[in-house]
Amino acid sequence: MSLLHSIQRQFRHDAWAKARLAEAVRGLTDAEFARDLGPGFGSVRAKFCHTVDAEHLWLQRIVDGVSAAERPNDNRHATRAEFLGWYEQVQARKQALIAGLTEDRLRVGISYRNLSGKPFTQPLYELLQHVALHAAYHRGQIAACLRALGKQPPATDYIDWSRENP
Amino acid sequence: MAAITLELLRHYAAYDAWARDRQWQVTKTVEEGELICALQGLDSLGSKWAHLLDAIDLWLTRIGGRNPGAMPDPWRFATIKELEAHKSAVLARWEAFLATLDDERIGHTIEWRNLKGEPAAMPLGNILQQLLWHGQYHRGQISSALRAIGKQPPGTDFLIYLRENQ
Repeated sequence: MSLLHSIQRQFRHDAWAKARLAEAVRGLTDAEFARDLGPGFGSVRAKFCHTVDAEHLWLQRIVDGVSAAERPNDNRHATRAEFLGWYEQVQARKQALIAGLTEDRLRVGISYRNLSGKPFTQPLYELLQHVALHAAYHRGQIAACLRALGKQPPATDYIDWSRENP
Repeated sequence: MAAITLELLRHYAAYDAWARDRQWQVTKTVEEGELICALQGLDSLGSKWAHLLDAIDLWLTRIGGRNPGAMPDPWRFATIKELEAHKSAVLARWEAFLATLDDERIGHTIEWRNLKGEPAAMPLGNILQQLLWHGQYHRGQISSALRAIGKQPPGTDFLIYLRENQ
């Protein structure tokens, strides 16, 4: 088992889990999607959009060599359809990055500036670990939002995916 | 063969311990009524912690060859002191177990019976990845629970961990 295979596999699980959450979003109304569920929760829209925007921010830094100075508004998508269009676009770019990885490329240092303009250089694989962990953290929050809306969130555990993808 | 390298597993486990401790430092400052205060969509702060720890305990028990038929009641800890005692006991077992890992061991197939009594099998490394990812998912929920009861959750991003520990 190589680092490359481990990272690619993590992102296959991540894509599967996100697709299940996107499916759950399709089952909401636009009003439920945007409903503010109170302190600590926000909305399905804000949490899911934040997750996708973070991936986009990293794609810009890693692939385009561009370090954005600010994050877009998590609540900018008026409808589920608008958000899901953005989601599909970012996922396609992310899949292309993951599919094109090599063992050597994973260890190359990526230079970027954070939102405050401070410069950093880190190996690509660490940045990708961060992206995957960040998504898993917010998956838990999106699931809590769905539950607060009275919906049953989909199972997205690694083990559920791993059983079908040994 | 495990679907993750030992290097990555160790990296995630070290991050997991760091992030859990940061959240615990804030959790232990809550009033005891807040620990078991019901939060829509999240159960309670205390029950999220109990579930996180019980999952580690369950898997250590299965890896040890026994198959519990049910998860314990996640609402059973009414005080920080009781929850902390459980946390210390589970994490001592967990850390002792992590110290025994090597490449060969993470590739061994573990056989167990799930909570319904059905047989299942998977390489140890995949099970550990499940546990670490499960922890990250619920870390997001613990963070939401802390915010819902008026506490500022600590930053637990992987990038913060790397900056503090490299």
